[in-house]
Amino acid sequence: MRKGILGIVLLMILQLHVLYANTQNVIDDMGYLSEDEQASLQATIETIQTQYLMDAVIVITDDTQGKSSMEFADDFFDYNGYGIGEEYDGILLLVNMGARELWISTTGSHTINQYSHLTNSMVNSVSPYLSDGEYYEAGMEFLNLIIGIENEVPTSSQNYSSQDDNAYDYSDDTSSVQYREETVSTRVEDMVASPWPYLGAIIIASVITGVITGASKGSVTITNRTYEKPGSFSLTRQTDRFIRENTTRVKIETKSSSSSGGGTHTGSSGRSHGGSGGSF
Amino acid sequence: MATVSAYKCLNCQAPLGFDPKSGQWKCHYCFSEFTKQELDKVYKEEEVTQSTGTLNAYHCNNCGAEIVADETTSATFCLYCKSPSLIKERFKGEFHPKYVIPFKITHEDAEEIYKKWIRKKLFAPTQFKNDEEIEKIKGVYAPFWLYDCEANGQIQGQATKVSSWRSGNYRYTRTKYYHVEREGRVKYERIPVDASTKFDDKFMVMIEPYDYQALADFSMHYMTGFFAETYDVDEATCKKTMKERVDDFISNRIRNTVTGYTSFSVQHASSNLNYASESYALMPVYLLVNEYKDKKHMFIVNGQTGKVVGETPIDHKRQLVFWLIALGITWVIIVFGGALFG
Repeated sequence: MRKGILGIVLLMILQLHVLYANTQNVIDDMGYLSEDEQASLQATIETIQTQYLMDAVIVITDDTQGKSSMEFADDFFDYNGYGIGEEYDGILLLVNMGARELWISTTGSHTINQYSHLTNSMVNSVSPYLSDGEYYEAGMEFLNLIIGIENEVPTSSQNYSSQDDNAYDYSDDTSSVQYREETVSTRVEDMVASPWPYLGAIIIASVITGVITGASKGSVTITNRTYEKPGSFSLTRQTDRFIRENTTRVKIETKSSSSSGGGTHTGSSGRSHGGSGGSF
Repeated sequence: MATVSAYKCLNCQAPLGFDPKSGQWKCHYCFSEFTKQELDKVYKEEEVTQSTGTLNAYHCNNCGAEIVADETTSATFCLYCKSPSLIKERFKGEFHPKYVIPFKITHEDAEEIYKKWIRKKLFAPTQFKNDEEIEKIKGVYAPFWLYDCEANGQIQGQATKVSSWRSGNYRYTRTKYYHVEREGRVKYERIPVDASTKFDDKFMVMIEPYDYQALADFSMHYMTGFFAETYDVDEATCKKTMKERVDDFISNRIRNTVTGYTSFSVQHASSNLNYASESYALMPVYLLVNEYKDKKHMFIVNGQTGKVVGETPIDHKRQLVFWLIALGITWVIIVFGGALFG
């Protein structure tokens, strides 16, 4: 019996090992993180790996080997054996101290789709910590955002509805048709429970009632020329005197957005990646 | 005893009434119609007997019953025999109108106009929609002072011309400021001012304009079959109202000549009358005064053009029911629309 349990545990560990080819998910070339901090981040990452079946990596470096932040992040993920499942699903946060840039790279169609509209705001949430030199907090924020997003997936379907086809690789066997029917009814339930439709209806009903209540009593249809004797109007004096002028100039802002990305691109390994970056 | 007059049918002696459609006088008993010239031959206005009766003590010359009339009522109907009755001395001397615009809209037309109008007033109390109520519509000749005048007006203000262009990485905006002055002169003809306190001034402005093409020299004949009021606001008081209207007309008129600028704001406007002359006229209106919770509500139709103004009280119960229905429908649309297309 004991052997049996041991066997199962061993098997599980073995399986996990197959899934998680690389167990070092926090790479700090700069030495900004203490050992405890690294361990804490690693532990959180492992929770993400087991609970959400996706990989997470944090890289802090000042040497991107001549590559852009995006290229380095994508390649680092691809060539270091990260990613879970057939499509190597995972997400990587690169803190590029050389260029003081950060880049969040996503891999695997599910992760790319699910995060395509979210990486930008993740960059914006993480970068303030980096600006303040709080690298551990930045890493934790990154991981907490992932946990928050993953936890929301099943309930808040509208945010991810466009990517839902793949979302069900993970749920047991919900057919997509069934899921959509549920969506409408759950949406109705959500709407019924929400105060906004009531508030909206009160405002609209009040406006309509108000408009009908105040409906025109009639209006004045004469103009300033109704009683004028035709041809009797004449201007007897007309002065237009220039007084002064002033000129202002405003610099036209050329677009230099601090965050970029969002689309999908292919890295040197041939895998597809998504992601966003920014400076700090 | 004061004289009360009504024009009688030259054939059957029944009372005559003015018919807005044909512009002639009609007998409702023998259906004879008479032109103004035909009546003038028989009823010469100068033959109206002078009398000095006490107000409110007139008698119907058809049935002899006492005519009950307000102090400003000059044409009315006998309460008993329904004959049109004119109180002649209330059309005389200072109260003699110079002009009249005869009714063009019939009583039936006015009722139709009211029905259409009240149908759109969702929150009007039901009693306002009853036939009994609708029958209360009266054709009334309302007193107006008509002013001919010439006015001078001046305006002063600041105008700007704004231009904008791009050079290199900069956008330049240049604002040129100008001091603008204009003076103008204009003549106005027959600006009407409501001369009766029985009508709401605001509404009387709204039923304007009347088509002065139909303006005729006053004749008592037109009054028969309608109510008529004499003025109780004197010419001097109405002149002030007229001056306010002229101020408004002329300053807007002159302001419209300031063109070619991006903006113009008037800092000073004034006007003065060079001369003004007035004439007293009666203009046709259909009037319905409703009382609801001790407050009077007025409905007025221009008796010549059919233009409608008026107000109805709000029945708060109807309003609440409507609001609740609108609320329910809107809520359903939001919830299901939001769930299906959100």
